[in-house]
Amino acid sequence: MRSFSYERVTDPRTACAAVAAHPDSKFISGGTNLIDLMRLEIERPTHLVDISRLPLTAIEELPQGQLRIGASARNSDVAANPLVRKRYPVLTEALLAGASGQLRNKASVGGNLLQRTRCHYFYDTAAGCNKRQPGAGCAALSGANRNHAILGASDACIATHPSDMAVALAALGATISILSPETTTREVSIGEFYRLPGTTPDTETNLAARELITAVTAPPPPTGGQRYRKVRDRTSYEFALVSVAVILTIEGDNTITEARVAFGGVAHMPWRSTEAETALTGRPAIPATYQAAADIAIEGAVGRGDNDFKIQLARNTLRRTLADVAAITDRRTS
Amino acid sequence: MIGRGVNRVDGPAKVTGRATYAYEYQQPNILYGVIITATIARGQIQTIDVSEAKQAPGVRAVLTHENVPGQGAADESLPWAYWRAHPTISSADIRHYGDAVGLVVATTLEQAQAASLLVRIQYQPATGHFDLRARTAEAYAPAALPAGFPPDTAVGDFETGFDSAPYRVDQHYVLPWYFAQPMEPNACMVVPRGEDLFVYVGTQIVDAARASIAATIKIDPERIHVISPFVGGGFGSKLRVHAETILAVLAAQHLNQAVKVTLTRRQIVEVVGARPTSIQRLRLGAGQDGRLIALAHEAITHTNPKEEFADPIAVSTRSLYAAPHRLTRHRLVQLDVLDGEDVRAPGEASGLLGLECTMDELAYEIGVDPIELRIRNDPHATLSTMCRFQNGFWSSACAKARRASGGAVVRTGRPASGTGGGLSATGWRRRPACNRSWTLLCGCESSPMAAPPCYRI
Amino acid sequence: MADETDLNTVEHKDSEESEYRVALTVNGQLYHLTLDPRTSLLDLLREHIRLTGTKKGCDHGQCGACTILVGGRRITSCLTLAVMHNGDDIVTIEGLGSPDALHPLQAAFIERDAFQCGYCTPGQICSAVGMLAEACAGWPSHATADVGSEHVELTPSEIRERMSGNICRCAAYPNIVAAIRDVSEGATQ
Repeated sequence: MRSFSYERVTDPRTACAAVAAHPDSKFISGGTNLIDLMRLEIERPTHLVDISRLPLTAIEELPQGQLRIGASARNSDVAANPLVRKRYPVLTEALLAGASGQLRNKASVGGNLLQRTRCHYFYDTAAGCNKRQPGAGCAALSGANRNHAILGASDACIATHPSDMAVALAALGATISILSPETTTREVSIGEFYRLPGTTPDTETNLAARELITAVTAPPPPTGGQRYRKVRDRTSYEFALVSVAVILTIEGDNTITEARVAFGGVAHMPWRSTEAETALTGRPAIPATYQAAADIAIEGAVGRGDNDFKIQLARNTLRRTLADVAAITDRRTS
Repeated sequence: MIGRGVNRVDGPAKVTGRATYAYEYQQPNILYGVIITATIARGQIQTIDVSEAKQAPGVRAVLTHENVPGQGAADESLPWAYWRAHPTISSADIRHYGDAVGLVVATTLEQAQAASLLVRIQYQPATGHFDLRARTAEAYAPAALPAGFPPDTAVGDFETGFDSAPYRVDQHYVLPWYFAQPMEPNACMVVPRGEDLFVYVGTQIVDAARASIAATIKIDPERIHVISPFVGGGFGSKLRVHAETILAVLAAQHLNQAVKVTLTRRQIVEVVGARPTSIQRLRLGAGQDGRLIALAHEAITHTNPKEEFADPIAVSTRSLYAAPHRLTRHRLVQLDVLDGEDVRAPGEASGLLGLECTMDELAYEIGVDPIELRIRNDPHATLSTMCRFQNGFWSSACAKARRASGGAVVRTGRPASGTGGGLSATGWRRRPACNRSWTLLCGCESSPMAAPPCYRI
Repeated sequence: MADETDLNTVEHKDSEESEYRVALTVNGQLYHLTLDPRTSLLDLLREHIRLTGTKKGCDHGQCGACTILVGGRRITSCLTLAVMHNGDDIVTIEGLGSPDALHPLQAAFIERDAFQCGYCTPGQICSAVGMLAEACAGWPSHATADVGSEHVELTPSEIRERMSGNICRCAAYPNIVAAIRDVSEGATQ
C-alpha cells in the first residue's frame, strides 16, 4: 500500500471540500472494499477523507411515506431496522444475503453502492484489464468467465456489479442524493447513477470525484409481496451467480397491476428489467405469465463461454421467484 | 484416561488467545520480510531491478537470486522430501506461476509491502506445459513412490481375469488439484544468536524442518533450534518448510538480525505445493457371487520436473480387496505447474474415492447391497504383505455400517445418484516413539503430526 | 475517551510517509500510539500492542479469524485502518476472558471441543459474542423465513448462517455450533 495522508471529517460540506482540496483523494467509510483494493495498489489515493462518522446514519420515514437512509448507515443497521423489515423486506433480504455479519457491521450504504467488481482479472494486477488500465484489454473475455456478465456488457469489459442491496434499491425505484463541493444536492435514480461498460469501463458511475453520496431514498413501495432470491455456489457468504428482486401487486381477480423486477450478477450494474415488468402488468398471475416475462427479461443475453449457464439460470430464477411472490401476496380488494 | 472425554490441555490457551503461533513471538527490533512471486508461468528472470525498492523508506535488504549465497541441493536419496534441502530463489529459472523470486526486508510490515511493489522484473517467458489431459501420452513410470513403494504391482493376470468376469465395470475419475489451506498461513521467525539460529515456525515435523534448513544453508543441524509448540493447521502443507522459512533464514543470516516472514493467503497457492490433478481408471471384474476376480487401479498425476512427486493413489488398494488378479499402476506427466506435495490423506483421499465409488457401481451392476459386496470381499485373505487387519475387523466394521444404513441399495431415478458405501483406511508405519516423545491428550504422538491427526476407519 | 483533536499529524516526512497519533481503548486499557496510517487495526493489535490473540488468516475479510468487537459490534479488523478507530472501545479475545476467568463462550468451546488447531478460535468466539448480541437485539438473518417478524429463534440453521463469516479448516463446525447453543440456551455444565 502506498503511503497517504488522512483526515477525519464531521460534516458533509467539509468532506467535499477536503476531497476537492487534495488531488488523488478518496472518501473512506467502512473501508471493506477500498482497503482491499489499496493493499493491492489497484486504488492508490494519496489522501483519505474518513466520512465514517458523518451524521448521515438516520433511517427515517419522510412525510409522503418515503424511506430515507443516510449514506453512512451500516448495512446491518439498515437490514435490522423495523421500518425496513416491515415495509421494504426485499431490501432487508438483499442486505442479509450479502457478505458476512462482520462485514455488514462495517460497510456503509454509500460504500455498498460504490463497491467495485470482484472480477479476478480486475484483482490480478498481472492480467490485462481495461477497468484498471484503459487499453490493456479484457483478460476475462477469453479467460475464466464463469462469474461474468450476460447483459449490457461489451468487448471492453464483462465484469458484474457485486451488490445485492443495489438490486433491491433498483427494484424499489430508489434515488440517490448527491452533494457536490458547490454545496448543491441532486437526486439521481439508480439507473442513471450506474454506467454500462461500453468503451470506458474504468468509469463506473456518474458520480464525480468530489461528490459525496448523502442518502438513498425509496418511494413508498407497491403493496404486495416482495422477495430477494440469490443463487450462488455456497449457501452463504458468496457472491451471486444470479439474483433477482421481485415485487408484485395483484388484484382480487388475480391480475398483476404492478410489478418490479431487477437482476443482480448479470451485468455491470443492477439490472432493472422494465421489459419484464411490462410483460407482467395487466396479465394474470399464472405460470405462463411468469415464463413469458422471464423470456423477455433475458432476451439479448450473451454468454461468454463459462457463464452460458447464467442465461437459463436467470430465466428460471425469475420465473420461480415470481411464482413464490405471487403465492405470498394478498390479493387486493377494491 | 483412555476412552474418557478429557478436555484438551491446550484449550484454555487457545480459547483465550494465549497460544502463540510462529509469527507471534515477541522479538525486539524484529524486521519484516515480504516475498515477491513470479507473474509468468515458465521462463527466466531477464533483469531484476531492486534500486527503487532499496531506496524505499525502512528497507534494510532485498534478496534475489543475484545476491543470495549458494545453497545446498536437495538430496533425492533421502526417502522423504521434507528432510531435503529446499534451495530458494537460487537461480533465474521460473518453474511455475508464483515461484518465489525475492524477499524485501524492512523495519515495518507496511514498508516491506510497499517496497515489494517497487521491484521491477523483466521476464523472458518460455513455452510450458500445463494441461494434464493433453499430455497423457508423455506419462512415465516413476522409479518409486514416496516411502519406497513400487509404482506398479501385479498379481495373476489382470487382462485375462477381467475378460472372463461375468460382471465388469470400467470407470474413470478425474479429480482436480487440492490445497491444504490451513487457517494459519505458513510463517517463520528466525532469531540469530551467535552461531546459532532459533527458528519459530509452524511445522508438522520438527526434525525435518531442522534438517532441511541445515542442508539448505549448509551448516551443522546442531546450530539450528526449531520451536513449534502450536501449529495453526497443516494438513500436509507444513510437513516441509517453504520459501517463508528459507528466505527468513537467509535474511536473518545476511542482516544478523531477527527477521520474520509470512505467506499471504494468495501466496499459499503459489509457493506451497498441492495434491496434483489426477486421472484414475478403475476396472473391477466379479463373479456371480459378487466376489472380485480382477481389480485394476491405475492413476496418472502430474509433477513439476524439478522435484518429482508421485501421489500414491493406488497404494491403499493393494491392501483392501482380495482378488486372484490384481494390478496397480502409477504414471507421471511433467507439467510446469505447482509442485505436488502430500495433502491430508495423500493417495488415500483420491484413490479410495475412486475405488469405493467403483465398488458401488459394481454392486449396482450385480444387484447386490453395497455393504454386502464389501463383506463378500473381506481382505483377510489378501496376499499383500503390507497390511494385516485384525481378525474379523473388516466384517465387524461392515456389519456396523449395515446396521447404521438400513442395508438396502437405493438407486433414485436420475442416473447419477444412489446410495452406496465407502471404506476408508490408512496405513501408518509403526516405529518406537523417540525418547522425548509426549502424548497430547487428544491421543496423538509427538512426531509426525498431521495437525490435527485424526484418522478414522 | 480521546478527543477528536488528538488525531494530529505528528510528522510528515520528506520521503512521503506520514504518521498519526491515535488513542483507543483495548480491553479496558487506553493506548496512545503514533502510527503509519496504513497500519490495519489487526496489525495494530498484533504488531504494536502485542496482543496476538487476534489472528491474521487472509487479510482480506474473507475468513473471520481477525474478528474483534468495536463498540460491542463484531467486525473484521484486517479491513479497517487503525487511524479510523481513534477514540474507539475495542475488545479482543484476550479481553473476553483469561484461563483463570473464562468467558462462558470460552468455557463452552473447551467443553464442546470446538477447536483443534485453534487458529480460527479467537475469531469464532469474538464473532459469536457479537452474534449473540445481534440475536438478542432481534436482528433477523438470511436464514430467517420472515424478516418482518419480531421474533428471532436461534436454531442451529440460524447459528450457522450468522457465523458464516468464520471459517474453520479443521472442521470443528458441529462442535462450534453446539458450544454457541450451550451459551445461547443458557445451558450450565
